[in-house]
Amino acid sequence: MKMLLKHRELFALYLFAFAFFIVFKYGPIYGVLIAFKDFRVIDGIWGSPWVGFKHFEELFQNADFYRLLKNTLLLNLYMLIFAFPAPIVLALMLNEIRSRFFQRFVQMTMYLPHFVSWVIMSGLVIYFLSPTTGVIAEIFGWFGAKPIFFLGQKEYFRPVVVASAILKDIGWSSIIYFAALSGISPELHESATIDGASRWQRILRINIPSIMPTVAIMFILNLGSFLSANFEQVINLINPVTYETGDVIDTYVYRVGLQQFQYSYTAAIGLFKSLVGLVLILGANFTVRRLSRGENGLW
Amino acid sequence: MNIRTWQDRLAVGVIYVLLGLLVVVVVYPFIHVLSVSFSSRGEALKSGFHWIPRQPTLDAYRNLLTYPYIWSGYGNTLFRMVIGTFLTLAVTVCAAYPLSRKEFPWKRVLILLLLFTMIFDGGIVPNYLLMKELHLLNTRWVYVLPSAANAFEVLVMLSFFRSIPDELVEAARIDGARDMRILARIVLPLSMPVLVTIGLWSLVYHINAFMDNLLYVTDQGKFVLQQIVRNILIQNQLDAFTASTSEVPPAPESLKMSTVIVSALPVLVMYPFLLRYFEKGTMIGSVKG
Repeated sequence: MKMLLKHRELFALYLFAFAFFIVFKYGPIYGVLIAFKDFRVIDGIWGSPWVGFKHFEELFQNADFYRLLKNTLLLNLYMLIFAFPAPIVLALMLNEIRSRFFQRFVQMTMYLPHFVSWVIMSGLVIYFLSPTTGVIAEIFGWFGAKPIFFLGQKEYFRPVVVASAILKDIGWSSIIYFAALSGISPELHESATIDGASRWQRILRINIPSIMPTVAIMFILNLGSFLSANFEQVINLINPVTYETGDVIDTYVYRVGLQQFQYSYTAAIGLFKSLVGLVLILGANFTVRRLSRGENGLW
Repeated sequence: MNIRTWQDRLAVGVIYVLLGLLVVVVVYPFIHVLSVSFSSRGEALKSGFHWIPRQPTLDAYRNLLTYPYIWSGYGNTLFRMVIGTFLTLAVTVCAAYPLSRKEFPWKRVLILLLLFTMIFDGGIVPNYLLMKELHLLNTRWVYVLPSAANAFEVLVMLSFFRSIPDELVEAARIDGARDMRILARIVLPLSMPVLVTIGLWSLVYHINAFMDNLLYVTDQGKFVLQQIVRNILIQNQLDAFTASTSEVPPAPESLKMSTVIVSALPVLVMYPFLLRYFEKGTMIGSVKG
């Protein structure tokens, strides 16, 4: 009590801020209860009858669920394989450039897409990939190739999503790696050069190991949003033709849950996704800590 | 140290070419969009590359500015930028400042509670039901209240506050200053870099956000700019334009591209400013939580 009184101003400040977290971050966690109930709007969250794991059983028997799970995992896996290393490669390349002017120029240009919304970005992707008027179709024409309707064919959906995600954030995400590279002592490179190391060897033996701690942290941070990533993007690029490969958990929950009012059922899918995400990030953090003997990792 | 072999030169050459290509991929669409937005109907409908419109016209823009929801969209986006950023900063400071003080109790638990919100999320449906119960559906407040609680930003600000020398705070305490006063007179003036950084993060988030609009708001008059753009650009809702009376209406492509330009304008204007603070900001953000 005395402590409360002594720090009453600090407590008042904190209470004001923490109220936002309680209501808007912990509030939805209370709403997760409906995944175990048959939610009826009139009865509210608490008043609706309990049904235990009914929705989860339904879920695991539904073919839709496996399609969604596969799409979500595959898309995110491709993102991890292709989009995650892209900014690292960009930073390594920029680091080899001597001309400061060209370096800055490339960086400033490549940051721009990061500040453009996914609505605009997706709209432009659709426009430029259009098989009739798009620029890509024109380039295909130079080589005598038939234009491809990228967003109208399910095989191309994931590559388009991954490629446009790379384009949007490659420059921005490279900042942190570039900074880590700039921190490497030039003496290291000089002595390696004297010992006869080639440029390639220096990149491989000096640059890459030096940025590994940064890479590890970014990797965990990435896993944190592993299964929720790309929602803003997918929802703008998807159309009924590409549901088969493009539909991810979030887009499905939005469509079936909010637009067709199947609240409890889709809340169960959402909870499943959140739990998998939680396990992933804790697991990744644990592994990274183990591998680096407690030096890396977020906490 | 410059022993340059031909392999070395080749490697650097390849890097220059690759980076050059990357720049073209980003810059060309911008030129194309600008060009089509100013093109006359016939020209805009042509496929392939667009550089400089032969007969530049402002028709598309004139049409766009009569689109019923463009102005309300701008207004709502401005609302969320101003109020949302202010609220985010207020909540972030109020959470980070007590946590940065040594004598504040239960810090570890409180920080863990914040961290948890970063790695677990209730999901779309529970969030929707919450907004419904709070009567926030179809209000502008739904744009600014939930996003004010951002644990990552609290951690960034916290680590900045911690770097402020304790002696300054202690000296003020001995002079009899209370906590609020110390915050206002000493901590905040010293924290301008982090305030600007988080403020800009928030501004950019609010300029581009549309998911909360999509999920929680159905009243067109309350749509934010990005949602209006989404309707025009992606959902092809161009009906409102066909009411235009001009003999040769602008091509749908011109309308769409002018929408892109008009909606990206705030970001483009802010861009040099953003560049200055954002690079530094990412570095501030990279400190361990």
